[in-house]
Amino acid sequence: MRVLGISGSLRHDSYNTRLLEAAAELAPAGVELEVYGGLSTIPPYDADLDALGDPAAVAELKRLVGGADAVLIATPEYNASIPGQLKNALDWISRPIKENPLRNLPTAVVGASTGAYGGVWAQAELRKVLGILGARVVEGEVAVPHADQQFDENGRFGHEEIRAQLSELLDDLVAAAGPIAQAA
Amino acid sequence: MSTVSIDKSEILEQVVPAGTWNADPHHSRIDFAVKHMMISTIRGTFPDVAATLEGGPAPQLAGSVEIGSVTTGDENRDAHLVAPDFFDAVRFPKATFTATLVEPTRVVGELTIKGVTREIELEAAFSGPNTDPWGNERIGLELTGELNRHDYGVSWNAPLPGGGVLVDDTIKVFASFSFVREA
Repeated sequence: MRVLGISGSLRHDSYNTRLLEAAAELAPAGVELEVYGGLSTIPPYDADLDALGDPAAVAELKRLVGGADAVLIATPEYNASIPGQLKNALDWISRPIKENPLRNLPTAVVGASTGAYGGVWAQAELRKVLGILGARVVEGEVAVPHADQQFDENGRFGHEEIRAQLSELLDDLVAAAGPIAQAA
Repeated sequence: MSTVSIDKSEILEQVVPAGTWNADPHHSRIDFAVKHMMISTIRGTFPDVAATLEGGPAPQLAGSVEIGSVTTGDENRDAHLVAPDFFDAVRFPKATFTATLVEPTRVVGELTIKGVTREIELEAAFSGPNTDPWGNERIGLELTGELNRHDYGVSWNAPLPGGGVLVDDTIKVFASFSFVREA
């Protein structure tokens, strides 16, 4: 089973990317979690461009989403919502709405922030957007607060409690993907 | 003293004569209406309908709709309606109804939407039989009723800034069938 991880942060040492890497380590046997690295290459959504067909970076992202059995998105919280570039990528993916590759695809949302609440508003916004796109949004959240303090002595990201929550959410995501993956 | 009793089965034999009657899909549909933002009404249709009526003293009625056929006149809204947020049409492609009681002005039955089965009572109005220009015998049936969408797990909503919610709980249902007697 293939899970595509998408980090909403472009920063090189992004806590959200680290969170996805932690998820990749925790993925159950038989589940491969690949972290998408091309978010910064997605052009601004433009209906004129859309009418000409998907730009290469968009086509590649759609191909990766379409080829995945599930998606895990880690989002930071910018001004109480999701980063513009993540929303922009989702807007591209959503076109056309009825055939978009996120439709019915099991999708889970996690997030890390340096604040005290772990970006729960951004996660709620992201769930709303994914639901509108037609994704099968898995319930449950992993909100990592004080992300800059989440490294252990070995430089590993995510304290034990966070890793346990992440593991549980991954199990739910994989379970949601199971019957659909078999039916496909 | 004499009493006059009305035998419903006799009336039913007149409104739904014995035989098998199949819904003509081109002249049958299931419409619904729901309050939007507490003030206006959104209407939609499930045009892909199948239904069969077995006539006689105790008529039987069963039917289904293709959830994926829903249309409300807005492509984005229709796409959202069939998505997991609402009907989850991939997992639950049909809604079905099986009547447990058919009377001249009332139909009671089991309605299944999104895998949840509940009893619903509908007002009924039969008409006909009448013969169409091609010699087919037809019966009309109009059914109306109300349901609470949360009873069936079709529960997506969004809060309004001033209080209240975007989509009301109560769905009004209007089904209209033209049944053709099976040859």
